[in-house]
Amino acid sequence: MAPSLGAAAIEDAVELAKRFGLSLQSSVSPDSEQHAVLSLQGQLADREGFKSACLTLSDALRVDIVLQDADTFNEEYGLACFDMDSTLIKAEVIDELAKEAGIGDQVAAITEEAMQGLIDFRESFTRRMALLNGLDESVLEIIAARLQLMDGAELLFAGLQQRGIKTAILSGGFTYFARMLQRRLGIDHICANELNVLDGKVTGKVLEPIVDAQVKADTLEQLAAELQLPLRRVIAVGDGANDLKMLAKAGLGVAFRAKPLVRSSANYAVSVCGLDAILQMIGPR
Amino acid sequence: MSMQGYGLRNAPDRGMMTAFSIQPVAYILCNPIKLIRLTILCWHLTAGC
Repeated sequence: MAPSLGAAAIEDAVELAKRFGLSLQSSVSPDSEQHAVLSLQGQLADREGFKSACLTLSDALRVDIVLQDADTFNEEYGLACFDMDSTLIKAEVIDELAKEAGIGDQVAAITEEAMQGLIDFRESFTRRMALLNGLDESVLEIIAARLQLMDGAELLFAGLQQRGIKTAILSGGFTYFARMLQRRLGIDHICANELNVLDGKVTGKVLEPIVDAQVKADTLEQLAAELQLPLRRVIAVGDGANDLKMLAKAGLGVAFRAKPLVRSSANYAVSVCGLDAILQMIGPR
Repeated sequence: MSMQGYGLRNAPDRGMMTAFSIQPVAYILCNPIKLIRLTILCWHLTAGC
């Protein structure tokens, strides 16, 4: 049975806030058992300590607890940038390609190391691509057909579009799949890696520039500049170590169902709920 | 220069409360009492769960 947001969870959060010198100003539960907002007041001397304690309490209660300054919630956001694999879709596409090529375990192990930040993304990408040499192009369509959207993705994009927020995929994955998502979710921009195919076969050759952490962060800045938005009005969402730079640039950088390193490094984290939880962090505008 | 008294001034356009007390103005401006928003989200917020 799904856990509900009981009074005890709210009391626990209030108690925690008090321990960090914050007092409760108001508490509302707009949709009863699914969502509660505590307005707290005070000088938060140990922000990192409170954030970390909120993450620990989140885990214990199996809910997400998001700590925001009130002005971050009230911000008028204009751009939202997303990682693709394991953020907008429930898979790492390169791992799916490798499964079809019969080298799934080998490639998944490299992907995991890269996502945890143990090895450089560029190095891991080059190594994984080389392993895919000779894969038949028809596999792309098979994989695209079985890809599942992340929980809450459609609700989130409907909400963003209703608010007039432009959207972008900034992905170390492949343009073939990013374009498919772009059509499905009505995404405005995509930036991803081209898969090199020759005579119907994946070559395994890497085409520069590889979309890595720096390219993601630079593209986020460039899109914001084109839209004449200060970075505080940009949302970024991702799960891997190669998302950290873009998460740090954005006013609202959300680690989504992220690896531990990413979850603790980002300013905001959603680990239990779906993507639609982000709508609760950006106000009704 | 110091201010007499103590209180909280609401600045709704900036979404925060600003404290003023008997301390110098510059100190007060650097140390606003912020309004913190703590959102607790349950996982069946997402449709389909």
